[in-house]
Amino acid sequence: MEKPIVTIENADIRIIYIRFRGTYQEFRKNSRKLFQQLFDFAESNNLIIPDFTKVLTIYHDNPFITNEKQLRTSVAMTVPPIIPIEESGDICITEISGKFGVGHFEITAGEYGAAWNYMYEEWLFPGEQKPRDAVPFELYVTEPPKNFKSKSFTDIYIPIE
Amino acid sequence: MENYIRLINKTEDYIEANLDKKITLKELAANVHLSEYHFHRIFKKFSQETLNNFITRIKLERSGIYLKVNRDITITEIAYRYGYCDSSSYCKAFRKHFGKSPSQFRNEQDNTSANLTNRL
Repeated sequence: MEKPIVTIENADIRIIYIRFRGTYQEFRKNSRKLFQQLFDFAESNNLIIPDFTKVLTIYHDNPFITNEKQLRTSVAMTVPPIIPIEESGDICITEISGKFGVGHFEITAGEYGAAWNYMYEEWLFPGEQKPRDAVPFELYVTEPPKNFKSKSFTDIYIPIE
Repeated sequence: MENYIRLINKTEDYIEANLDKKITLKELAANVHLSEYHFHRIFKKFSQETLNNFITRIKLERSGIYLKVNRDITITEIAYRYGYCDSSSYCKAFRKHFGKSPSQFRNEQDNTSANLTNRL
């Protein structure tokens, strides 16, 4: 994995999301279906804007602290800030805001763990930035890799003070 | 609110946005535009935890992550940040949930903070 460029950004993102509760293995099995559910909602509500809409995965808990059956992972999609949206079914609206360290990665499907590890162990902990208590997430700048060889651009957002 | 999953999601979002406050049933009900009675009834029906346990667990687990990654912050400061009025009530709740004190938890030579990164 190539060393990423890390920038400091102030985010103010409105999202729709579906939250999954359960182990990461179960999440992996269900994630495609959840993203499809999100896309279907976004399409039927005319929320998809080419070159603007991004999808993300939000990790709410730490698997070494929270019981694995209670781990929360959300699949989410950015939506325009002012369009009225009516929540429906399992889909909720919220906002992500605040300061983040953002690692800009070009990685394969097998390198996500290393990318997260880089952001905490090599960028955050030894550096000058202080962690902020908010949820970190990965934002898919381009479509996530469909196989283990191809790479895609993914930004990892770490909340900082 | 017909959909209890949205109710739980919004309740979690509210708690996480107000970790430093003492959160009441009244606030949580108002957050989802329900009466206290109706909110509590739905929550009780669909959640496997009591509301108090639910609030406490979210706060303690978030504080557990925070104290691991912010090693220079005192336990008293952490207690205030997570809505406890003093470190003793925080430590008591923490020990009840995790079976160890916040200091023991922080100083354990595991790689929990590193594994914040071990997402998928």
